[in-house]
Amino acid sequence: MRKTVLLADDSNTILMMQKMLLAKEPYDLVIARDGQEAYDKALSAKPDLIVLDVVMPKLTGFEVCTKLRAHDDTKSTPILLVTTRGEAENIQKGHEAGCTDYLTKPINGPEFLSKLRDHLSR
Amino acid sequence: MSGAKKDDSGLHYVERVRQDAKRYTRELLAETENLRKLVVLLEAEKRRLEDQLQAARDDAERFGREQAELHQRLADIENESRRFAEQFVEVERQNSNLANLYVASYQFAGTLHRDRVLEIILEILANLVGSEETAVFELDEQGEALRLVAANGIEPGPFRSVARGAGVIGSVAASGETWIVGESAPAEGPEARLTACVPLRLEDKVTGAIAIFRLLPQKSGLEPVDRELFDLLATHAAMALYCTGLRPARVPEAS
Repeated sequence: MRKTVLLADDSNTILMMQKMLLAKEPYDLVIARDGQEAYDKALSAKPDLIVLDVVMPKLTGFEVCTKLRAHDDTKSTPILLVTTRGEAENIQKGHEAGCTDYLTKPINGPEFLSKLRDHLSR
Repeated sequence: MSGAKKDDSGLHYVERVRQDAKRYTRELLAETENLRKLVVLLEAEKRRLEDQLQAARDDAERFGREQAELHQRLADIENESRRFAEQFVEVERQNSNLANLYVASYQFAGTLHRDRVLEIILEILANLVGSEETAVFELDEQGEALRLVAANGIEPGPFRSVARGAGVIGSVAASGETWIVGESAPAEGPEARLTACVPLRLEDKVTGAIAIFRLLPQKSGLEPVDRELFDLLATHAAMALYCTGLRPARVPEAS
């Protein structure tokens, strides 16, 4: 059965990059361009994994993550946070919000694919 | 008479001894024969065991050789598997690099709006190169000074206008050559944090420059794909900016 991945980012560049990297992977992709849309689509599409940018309009990636962890349907869905700043403090904040793992920008293609495959195979 | 009896008993004794001796001799001969047969049997058994031992040694040697061959084949398969895994990672890396270049190129082709083009340049530098301290300059009509037209994360004051030929940014506009930290004379003053400066080129004419200051902390340095991205930006960004000037005023903004 094909798995579903939700990609949430307000940057067309990043979304296009992620879609291209995942083009040959056996996943159905759902796209969100702001935090609120990401939250809504996470609840409606029930993806197997969520990739969330930290800086997004309406709701930040941290806020979306916290809200999703409080919801029964998404409390155990793997969430990868994409952060511009890779400092420990930022990563700590992501883990406190309940993220499963994180990626730093600029996105490294092989690392992105490896983390997705790893979390989706668990 | 008694003398004759004595002789008789002596003769009996001798005869008995002789008979005993003959019996012992027969028994000894029989025993010797038995022992000889036993020796023959034991020698045959010894030869059989030696043959078995040799066969076992031959088997052990053959198994040893086969085991060594299997170890070698296993090592070969492991090496092959490692090589495939490395090739796979390399293909994914190249695929990712190509995706970077394609995304950058595609983004420029998607708009005729000047502000959007400038936004795309800064977005590409932030998301694909990994710098949130960047600036875009265009040469004025006289071609004497660079004018700051977009910036992200820098204090614009010292860069509002840069004379062509002055400092690293002005020199890049004059020479049309990309400047990369560590490969040319170091940048000084307000340009001290420069990592790279890329000319914007339309055919042979330099129309501006892109300055990349500090990279994001997790990015240790520029990679080969960044240099390819700079080459792409040099022409595609310049062309995209040029095309925005050709855009008819009635083209509506995309919603």
